Amino acid sequence: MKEVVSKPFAQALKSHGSANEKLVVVTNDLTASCEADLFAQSFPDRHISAGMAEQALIATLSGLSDEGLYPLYPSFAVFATRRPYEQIALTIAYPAKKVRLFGFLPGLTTPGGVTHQAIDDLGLMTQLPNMTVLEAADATDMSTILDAIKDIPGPIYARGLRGEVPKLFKEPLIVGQSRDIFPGEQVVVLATGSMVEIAFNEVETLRNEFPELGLICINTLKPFGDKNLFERLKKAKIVITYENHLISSGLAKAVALYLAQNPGPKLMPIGIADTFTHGGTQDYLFNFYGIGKRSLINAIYKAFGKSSVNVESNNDFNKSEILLNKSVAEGL
Amino acid sequence: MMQTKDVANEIRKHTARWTIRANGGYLAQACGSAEILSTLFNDVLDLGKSTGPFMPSEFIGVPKPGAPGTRGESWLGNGPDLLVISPAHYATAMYSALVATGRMDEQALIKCSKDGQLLEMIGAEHSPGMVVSSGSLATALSVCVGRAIARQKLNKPGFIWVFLSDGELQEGATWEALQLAKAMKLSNLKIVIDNNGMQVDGQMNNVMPLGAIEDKLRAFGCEVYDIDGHNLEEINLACKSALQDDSLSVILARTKPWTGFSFLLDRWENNKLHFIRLTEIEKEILTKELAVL
Repeated sequence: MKEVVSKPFAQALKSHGSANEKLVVVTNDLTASCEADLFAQSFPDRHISAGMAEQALIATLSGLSDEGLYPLYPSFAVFATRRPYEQIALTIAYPAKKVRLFGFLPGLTTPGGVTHQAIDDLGLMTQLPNMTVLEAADATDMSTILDAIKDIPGPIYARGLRGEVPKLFKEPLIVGQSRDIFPGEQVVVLATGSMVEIAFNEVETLRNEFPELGLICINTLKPFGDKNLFERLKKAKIVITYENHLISSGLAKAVALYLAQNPGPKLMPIGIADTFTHGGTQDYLFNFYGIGKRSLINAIYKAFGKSSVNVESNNDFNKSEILLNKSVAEGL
Repeated sequence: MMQTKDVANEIRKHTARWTIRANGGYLAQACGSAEILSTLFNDVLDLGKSTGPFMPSEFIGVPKPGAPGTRGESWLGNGPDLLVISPAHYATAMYSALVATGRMDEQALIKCSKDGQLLEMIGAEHSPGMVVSSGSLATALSVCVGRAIARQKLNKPGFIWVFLSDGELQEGATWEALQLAKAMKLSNLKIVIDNNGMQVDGQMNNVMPLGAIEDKLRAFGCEVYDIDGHNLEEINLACKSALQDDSLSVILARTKPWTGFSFLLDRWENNKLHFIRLTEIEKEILTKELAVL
């Protein structure tokens, strides 16, 4: 059983607030839900409650930055990106403001349904020029990401994890650097965000059977890639991408674009296909949309030329009661 | 220093010449706002000296992280106050005002309105006098709310004046911005609305009526000054009074965007006032009236 850290971002935001008096946190009625409550209590003068008005909120961040403050907006990823997209494009990305957007509830991690599931946020943000895009995969990432980004000019969108977050890594997150987890060369799994924990467990087990199976965690979606990652891709026969996002605009897209220009391994993408999604428990949804651990295991078997051990089907899945998340403010 | 009424006249003249030269332009916007802009520049704002070159340099590129590029804000000056044009379609009026107030070379209106230059027809933040790339309407007010909040927190002096068009009151984002400005008790943010009653498709009453704007603004907690937007004295008085308010002030300037040139009234009546591409007859009338303005 891996260590679990409770609300790592809340603590990190508070300590970052102590270190940087220019940090202002602007929220849209999701202060505790996005773990900004500790900051707000500690630095009430530097917390701005902008209400449910994301268009104005985003442009306000731009203005705060113009005058020398360091604004950060934590929200659910859908409200951080999809709703105020034009304001992000024109008032933050275009003028390359030093503004930080944090999106929680990544992909299918919530019973909240289509309105709360960010399956396109990384796509929306990576397609914006000037934007750096990150995704945290564990508690260490959430504890260290604010330090990692503090000196980076221009805007950043970071997908985050909240509540009870597994701790997978010891070393701090570094922007522009992937994390080597397992060294196998023939088949390499590239995983992001909440999928890294699943991939970690499955790959660790399957390496007994397939020693040439590797795993890398991608924290930086844009700019994509680093020397080590490119070396690994060069040596691989098959690369499996594993993400909690639409394949068409997330990690798989970035890898596909790279491989199209640097031919090498075959790409097997696992992620949300070209479909909207609905609400439910995570296991049910992962199964329904084919991004659960069984999809990963099957892909790995296929990559090594073996037939699948277990076939995923909607019918054989035990549809459970929807249990509400007890570790966060609102149960989503 | 030119008198305020003369600055207003110059704004109309420069924009009219631009419209003739380019065979198209946002002339009615300049004609409706000439008195407002000239009063703000001449009598109200403490803008300080322009720090932009008298003859603007060429366009060097869009902003990149750590390299913001040319800032249109430089031509507004290094003073404590800031004037932000929200509807970027008023850029020609702004360029004309910069020329009339001695901040930019008159030749720039010709030389710098070509490809690779800074004076774009719909201004962006690299265009002289423009602060926000706000051609997509209802953007700049929120940016200014952020700047005003930051100045309040950092105890910076000066007022941020935002010039809005009434069309932007159709956008929800404008009301979001007013809501936040009120909640933050911003006394360093002042708004002037050019209530010209027109939009691209024609008269607003036929496209999307705004109803009682002053009542809506008051309901949002604004101190509203309902004035004639062509009366210099009224504009000046309202602005000076707004500076004393400790809450959010909005000057609702009722304007007639056909003011200055006779053929514009016909265009107002025919719902063709937003963008002026001159007919031969209009060109003759404009040239003749320009000579005696």
